[in-house]
Amino acid sequence: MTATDGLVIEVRGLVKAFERFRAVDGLDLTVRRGEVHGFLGPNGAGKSTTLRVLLGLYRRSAGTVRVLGLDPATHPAEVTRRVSYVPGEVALWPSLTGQEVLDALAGIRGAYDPAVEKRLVADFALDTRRKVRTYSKGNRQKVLLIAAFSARTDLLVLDEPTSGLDPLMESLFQRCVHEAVARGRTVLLSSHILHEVEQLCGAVTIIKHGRLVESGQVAQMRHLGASSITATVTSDRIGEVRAALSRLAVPGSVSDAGSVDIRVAGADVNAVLGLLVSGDAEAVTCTPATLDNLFQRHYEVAAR
Amino acid sequence: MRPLLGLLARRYAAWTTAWLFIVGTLVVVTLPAYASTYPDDGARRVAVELAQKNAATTLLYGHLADPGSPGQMFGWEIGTFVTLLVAVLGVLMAVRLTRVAEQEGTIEIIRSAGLGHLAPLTATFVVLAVVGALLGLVSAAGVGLRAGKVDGVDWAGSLAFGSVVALTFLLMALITVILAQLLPTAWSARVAGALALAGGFAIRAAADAQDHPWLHRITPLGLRATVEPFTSNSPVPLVVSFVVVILLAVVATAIERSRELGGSILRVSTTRVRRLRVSSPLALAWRLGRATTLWWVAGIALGGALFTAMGSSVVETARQGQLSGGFLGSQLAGGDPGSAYLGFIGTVVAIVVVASGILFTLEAVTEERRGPGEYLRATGTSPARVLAGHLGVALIVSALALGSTAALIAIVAPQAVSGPGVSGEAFQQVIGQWSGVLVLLAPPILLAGWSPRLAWLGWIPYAAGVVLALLGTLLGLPQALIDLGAFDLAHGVLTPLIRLTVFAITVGVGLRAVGRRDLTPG
Repeated sequence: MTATDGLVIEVRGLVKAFERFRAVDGLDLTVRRGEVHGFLGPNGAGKSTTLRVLLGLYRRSAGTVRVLGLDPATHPAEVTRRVSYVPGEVALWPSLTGQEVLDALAGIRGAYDPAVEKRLVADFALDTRRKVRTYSKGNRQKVLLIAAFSARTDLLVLDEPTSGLDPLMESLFQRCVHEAVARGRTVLLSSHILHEVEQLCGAVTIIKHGRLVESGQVAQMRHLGASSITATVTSDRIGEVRAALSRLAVPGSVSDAGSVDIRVAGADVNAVLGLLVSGDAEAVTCTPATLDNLFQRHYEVAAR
Repeated sequence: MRPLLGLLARRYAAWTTAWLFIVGTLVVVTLPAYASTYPDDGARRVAVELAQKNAATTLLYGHLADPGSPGQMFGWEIGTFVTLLVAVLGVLMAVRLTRVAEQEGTIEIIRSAGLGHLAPLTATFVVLAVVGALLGLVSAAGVGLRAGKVDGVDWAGSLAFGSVVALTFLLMALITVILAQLLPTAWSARVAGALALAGGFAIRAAADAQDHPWLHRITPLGLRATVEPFTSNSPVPLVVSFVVVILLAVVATAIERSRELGGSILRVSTTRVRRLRVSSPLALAWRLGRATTLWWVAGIALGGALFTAMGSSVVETARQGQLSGGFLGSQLAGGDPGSAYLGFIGTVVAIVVVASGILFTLEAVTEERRGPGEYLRATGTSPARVLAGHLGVALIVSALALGSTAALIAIVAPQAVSGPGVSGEAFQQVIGQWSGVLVLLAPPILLAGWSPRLAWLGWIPYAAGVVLALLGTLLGLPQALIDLGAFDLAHGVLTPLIRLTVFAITVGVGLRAVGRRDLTPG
């Protein structure tokens, strides 16, 4: 499989072990060219380890990994030359100014757009004359985001890139991602901010304990996820509605006062809504599944 | 407070143990040599008189008190090294416990965990006091165990010696704690601490060379001269120093009260508008280490030239056959003392050069573990290039330091050492150390490439080389073993070629290994 097949990242059966501990255990991950792919999982799920394997910073224990058509274990420099990376922990050289860090990273990479850098410095309101040791966490993060977006690369690998940014800067970050995708770049975004993922990502992969839990297009996952339906049933129809819901094997409840609050799989939504209408239910609402619902279900399972 | 002290004890246990081991070994191993070096009292007396009249040794170690017993000679020579060593430890430890902890954010966490504003500083005082006490105990016990067995060594002198070691450490550490509160960064605090140490040494040297003994009272490194272990064992300077330690702690506490977390009393500019033109890890490593590099090079060149200039009397004395024992006597034994003295200078220069080179090399490990190394490796550059960049800076520093020191010493040496071809020989004795420097820079690179967590082991071949070069003869080690030391000046082509080959292979393995292992953050 090469990058020309439309796959920028292709991971099959990835295992990364640290002595006896398997941080990543048989993971599959596919990222298509030009998409923003969310990479989600609870703390310690193996996200950062996977990202480091993709960049050749960690060597895999088993499995196959292709990034931009190359194996990062054997061609780390060739891969990272075409990848912008923002790590989860940002510790820069404290004696350099923000501008000097940008210059250093751009100079060593050798391919960046100075005009984009200048614009982003202004947009992110970063005082690049100041030494890095005076920067807050958010400002240090801005330095690496500016370096990542102004580098001439095909793939951006972002590990919780907005965890230190204020809401205004988060919005700017989302704009930068959209611009990058519009220019044909691909983004792999690891994040815990679910509304950000929902707004940005066309596809997501969820991992837990280093293993794949779920992967696919966000729209499809929403469809498959449980919608929330509420309604009010008159007292004389409660028994009838309860029996009909029971026949459909829909979980949830109809209270003795007639209020309905149930969660319904995407495929059953029409049937349930039809049932409620025929039961003369009032104030019917149907809220589609959100990624929050989907992820929190997985996160809660992981936390047990 | 107790959990905080436990945390600090765990964090610094290995580091402190290593320093205690170094100091203890130095004390225990060298003391017996002073009893066995001289065949009889007459030979010792000659050596003592020469040492008392020699400007170079007086500048370096101070005055040697009469009658010059082995205990007094130990306190005079090894006492200088031990007090310098613990003073360096005091500077490093004080900065680590204060400004480094503040920069890393650990003090913020501690202060937000229900402890008071002054708790971290109080814990620092406690840790420094415990380390100082341990250093003093190790030194006193190491010497005291020979009480009655080595002439001039008794328990009173040993306790005075141990107290001098402990208080020298504490004085230097607390001065640095104050400097670390005044200055905004760990780097500037270390530089200020190093300058204070250098100033303290210069004052002590001036006190002895210019015969102004009162100057001993204003420098931590003069405490040994005022207490006179194994001679008068004077307790008054010890009490005064203890009071000064308390006063320094009070001053540090007052400064701490008056500043914000992360703040400093003195301000330095935190902005700069210059652009950085670098296109390789080597260029970046050079830019990051440039200022420190120039300090090292200037310091080594000036220090080497200074000690060369002071060597005239010691060389002449040795040429008259009147210098036959002790540390300096062992260094000048065999062959012409003039050449031997220049060789000794070359060795000392190389020892300092390698230390600076190893520090620059290990900076690669620091960067990898703290974070910048991670995204540097993610900008299309190979891990081998990053590591090679740091080695490159170490080689540049070494080359500049050896070259400039050799040139300066070549100019100065004819004023201090008489004889034909002195200038060329002085140059050769320093520049000829290049292969030894190379061979000792290789192990840290190998270890940094193979396993960053073990990179500190790269200091072991260096330490072995120093012991063989400086103490090998004094300790009566076989000449064949001493000749194997990396600081033994290589003659001809074969030895440099072998060392060059060892360097190339070791570095090659290290650079290959770094590309075959995982990044090691944290």
